[in-house]
Amino acid sequence: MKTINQSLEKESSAAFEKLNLELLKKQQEIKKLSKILHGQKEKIDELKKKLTYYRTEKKTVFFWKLLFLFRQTLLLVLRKTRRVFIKTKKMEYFFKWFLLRVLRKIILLLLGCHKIVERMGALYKRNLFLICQEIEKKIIAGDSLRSAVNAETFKTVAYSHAANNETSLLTKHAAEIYFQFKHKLQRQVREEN
Amino acid sequence: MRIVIDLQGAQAQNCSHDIRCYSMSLAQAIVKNAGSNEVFIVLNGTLKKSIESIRAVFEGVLPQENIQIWYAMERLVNHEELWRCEVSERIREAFLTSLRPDIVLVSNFSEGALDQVITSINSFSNHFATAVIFYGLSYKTQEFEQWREKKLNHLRRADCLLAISEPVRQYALNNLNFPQEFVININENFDNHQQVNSVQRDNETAIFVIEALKCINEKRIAASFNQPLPVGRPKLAYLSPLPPERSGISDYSIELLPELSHYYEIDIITDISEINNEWVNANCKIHNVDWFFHNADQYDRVFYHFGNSPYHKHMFKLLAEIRGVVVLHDFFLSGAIGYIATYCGAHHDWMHALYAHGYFALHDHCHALQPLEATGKYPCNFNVFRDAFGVIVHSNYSRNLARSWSPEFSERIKVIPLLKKSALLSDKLSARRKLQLNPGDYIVCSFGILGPSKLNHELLEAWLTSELAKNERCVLIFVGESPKDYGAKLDEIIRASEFSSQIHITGWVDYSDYTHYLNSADVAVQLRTDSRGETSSAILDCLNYSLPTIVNANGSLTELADDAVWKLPDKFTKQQLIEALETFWFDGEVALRFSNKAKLTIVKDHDPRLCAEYYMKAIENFYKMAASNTTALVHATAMLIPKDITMKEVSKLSAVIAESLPEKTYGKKQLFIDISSLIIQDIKTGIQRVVRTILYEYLINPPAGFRVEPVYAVLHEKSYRYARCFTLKFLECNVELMGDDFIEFSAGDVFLGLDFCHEIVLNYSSFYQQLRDFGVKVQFVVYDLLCITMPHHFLGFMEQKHQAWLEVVAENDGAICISKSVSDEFDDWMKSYRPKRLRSFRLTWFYLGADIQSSLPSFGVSSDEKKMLQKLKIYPSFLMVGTVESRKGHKQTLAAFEKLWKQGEEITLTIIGKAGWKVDKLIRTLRNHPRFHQNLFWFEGASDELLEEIYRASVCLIAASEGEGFGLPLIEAAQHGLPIIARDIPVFREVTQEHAFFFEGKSSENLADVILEWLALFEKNQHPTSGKIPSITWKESAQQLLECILPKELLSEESIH
Repeated sequence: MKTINQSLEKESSAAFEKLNLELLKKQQEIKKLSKILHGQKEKIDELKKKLTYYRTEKKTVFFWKLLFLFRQTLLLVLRKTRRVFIKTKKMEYFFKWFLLRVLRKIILLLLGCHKIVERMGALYKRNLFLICQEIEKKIIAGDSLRSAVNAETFKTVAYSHAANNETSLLTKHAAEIYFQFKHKLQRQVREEN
Repeated sequence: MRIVIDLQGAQAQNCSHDIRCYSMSLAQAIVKNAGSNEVFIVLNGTLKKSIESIRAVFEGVLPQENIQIWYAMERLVNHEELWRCEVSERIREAFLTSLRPDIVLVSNFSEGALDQVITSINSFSNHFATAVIFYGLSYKTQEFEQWREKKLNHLRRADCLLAISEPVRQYALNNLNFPQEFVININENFDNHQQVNSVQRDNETAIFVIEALKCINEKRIAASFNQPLPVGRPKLAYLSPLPPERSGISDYSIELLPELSHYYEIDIITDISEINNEWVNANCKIHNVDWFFHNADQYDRVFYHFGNSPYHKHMFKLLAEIRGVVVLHDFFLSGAIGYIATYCGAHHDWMHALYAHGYFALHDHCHALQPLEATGKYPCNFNVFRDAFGVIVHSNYSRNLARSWSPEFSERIKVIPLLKKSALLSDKLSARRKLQLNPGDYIVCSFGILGPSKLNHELLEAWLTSELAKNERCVLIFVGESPKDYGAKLDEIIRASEFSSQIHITGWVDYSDYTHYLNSADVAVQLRTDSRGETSSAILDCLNYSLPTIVNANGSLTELADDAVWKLPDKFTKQQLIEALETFWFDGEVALRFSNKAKLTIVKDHDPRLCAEYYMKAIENFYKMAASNTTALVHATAMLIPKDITMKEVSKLSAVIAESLPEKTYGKKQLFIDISSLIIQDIKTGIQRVVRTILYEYLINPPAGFRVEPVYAVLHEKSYRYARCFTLKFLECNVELMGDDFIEFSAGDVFLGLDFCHEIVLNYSSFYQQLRDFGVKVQFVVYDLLCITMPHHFLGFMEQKHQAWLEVVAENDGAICISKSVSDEFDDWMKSYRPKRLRSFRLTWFYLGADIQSSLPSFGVSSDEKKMLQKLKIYPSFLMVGTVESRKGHKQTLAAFEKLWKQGEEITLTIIGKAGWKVDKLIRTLRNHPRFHQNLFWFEGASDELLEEIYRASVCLIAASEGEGFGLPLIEAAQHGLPIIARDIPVFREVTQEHAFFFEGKSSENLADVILEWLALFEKNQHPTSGKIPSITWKESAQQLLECILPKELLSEESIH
């Protein structure tokens, strides 16, 4: 009986040690992640400054440049954190949830500092909102984060809603018809080729 | 019969004046003699100039909504531009189809070679018959030979040519080789040169034409009966819950599929790993949803089954992408949408579904105590109706619900009875043995999931009180799952009763046990309240198993035959239910009669083969209609446009199609409310109080049949935008919705210029005309004409600007003034300005509300203000409310008070209102006045809360203004019982109805005397009181305004929500 107890004790202490080690590892990983995020925060602050500067310019092109800068930043976060973090399914779920929170924060920050003329602002705001929504939708539908935050997502939204683009003077209904045409024509070209 | 007249014959600039006049007079005569037929007139929006004059001719004869506009691709008239013409022909036909005509009458077919007139027959759609008024074919030169040939080909596809005379008929027969029966002379009665006046002639021709159109339509209907069924078995994708999913719809599908497979090759689209049904596994291919999403092109038909449960969660998104025919088993889908929002993160979709009902639904949701409270109130099925080619429901009750919630979709709904396979009745005794029930018992059953809406508690109470309970051989069984709370309540009642051993709740039972209970029961009781448009399969099961069944007339149950079920009233009494239960128990003959009829109903009305045939016909019909919808039009036009077309051209084409085939925005007409000023800043003026309050009233309680949409414009854009972001903030709804898109409008909408914004209105004058061309009624609220009547009180440019603003108002459909006095002034102005108008102008007025509490008041009283408030109470305080402007008489009043103060009168003057213009000197005087903060108080930015306090603390209101639109402070003062000294101007006489102390003259001495006189009367209590001044609430004010802006027939006392 005593031997059994001893061996059990030994096993449990080994297991405990193992768990402890894993916990330490995780703590280190979280530290790493928070460092990365801190780095990103600095970048966002930089973006914020730039946005304040561009506010006076009121030009769409700057807006989109910034938007793509934002996208790159986001991708960087993903690239770095994914390597460190994703191990199990559960962790991936947590990671996605965590990333969504970060994503929202970043977008809110961008929205906060982006106050070009109130009326025009509504349009830009909407674009950012739609991008965020699109990414969320994809993640919820089970897409990987990498594919959710891909250029296509940005393009789709940019195509349909950007100011000064081909549909900016159309109503929503007309814009929908426009894209139907566009896809149809592209398909015709593909089929001919 | 719905007759659509294509009146391009009256619009064409190149055709002869005679033809234009003839087209107009014939159309007018047809409208006049239409009788029970419905007439629509369609116009080509590209030929803009003629629209207003044609609308004017039909004003008062035909509702403006029945004159509809479509747009063609503008083109240069040459052969290279042929594709534009062909595209326009398809747009026109798609537009005509969208009006669902029985017959289209083309007023002139021979134009178009040299102008923008577009006519064609059956080049895209053949859903309606076409008759053409035929004058002959012009352009015989070689240059137009190809065009002429094309026109002839189109004419051959018409159902009938209505020649305007015998020679023209002969020309059509001999020169164009049309068959005899194809060409009718519509003026044959007058060919003998009878002397009749033109009106009589037009009327008789119109009657003749209508008769001819009727014949053509009847012929076409007769031909449609012989239409062949689809060749072969089209491939159909079937989306529905299926076993083992525990939904009534999955059982239903299992019964429907074998019958439907006679007509279609069916593939099942589902994400469940294994379907528990042999027939399905043996006869259908099964694909997952993702595969279907990428391979939907393989299918000829897509068939969705929607219900209000999470089993349908994937279908909402799918339907938006891959459209098809929908069977709506539950009218309310809010439960499913709420589930998706809560568990799948699609919160935005839910908000959108609520927004589809109107802002009030979002407001209800955002201010609800329970998170899912709105699900029981709003169906949230708009997207399904919008995206489906057609919707099949199982009862007229559901169809009526659709008509009331989304009237625009009611034409795309088909009622098909719930299919039910006739059951083979088994031996009652053996069924009871299997369930271990006593063979000699008298068993009353209620089938289906238990719940408050199934009224199981009422059945329980009635049964316990009835004679049945007293007999130990009578048993009551609830067959179905019982929700925790509700089940516990029932259990409590059962335990407390002395007959608890005779009552059972089975919980969820499988199909086999379910049928055993149906076989075992003697009577079924299926009650219902708060129906959400669902059709009960359980009741049909009861009838199928020949059970005498008791129901109450709620929802779709009302449609059951009276001799097939014992139908209690919707709100029945306990006694009535007891009577039904006891009659069935005591009188076997009655029970037998109902039992026989029940089975017969199932066999006759719910036969699976018959229902499947109905389904097939409905699916084919919906698909046929969809062949000319917007998507099909895009498909067809994409084939016609040149390969090197620029995207700018595509953008233009898209705009033309969108304008011609506008989306019925959320299935209702729209009431646009212009808030262009308020959206920038609420500067708390009287006008903005009106805008805020009326807007809030309409958003929360919209007029029936309309959805209220606040809109705004910015300078240098081409159209107004929806003010969605602002409105959500305004209603304190913390949700992000779609952005502020450009507005989409269609005939029958109403635009109300509620806010006052010179710049915007002047810049958008042509946009308002575009709205009017389209059939949107454009009206403005006129607050005053003071800039015109007393320009010296305003800044220099204001008179000119206001004049221009009034001119824009006068171009539109009407003005609603805020008092009769303003209305009279506007009328005088109109008489002197004499605007060139073709249609009538409606000039009305309404009154403003007086209850500050309802006008979204501002709150807050600072400590300084409180101190001042105490001080002003020391002496009798006279109050002036309103912006400090030169016309408001502050200067005269202050001077009068200075005189009175000098005379030793201990009275106070309190002024509330911001500093306006042209009063710098007065303001300096006020601020530096020796009596400031002693007998003279000025509250510049008083909140509404403080305003109310001051009203209460004062003894009299002085309304010294030389001109006002309404004089809101007067009725607010009256609300507080405050007597009024008012300048004798018409608007103050109108508002106070003589219950004020009036004064004239502009001298301070005069006013001082008046105040003294009033004080003397006040002391004797003989002063005029304001108690009898009539005042209305803001709610009533909003209703008055509504009566001014909406046609009377559209107004009903209750709003739909």
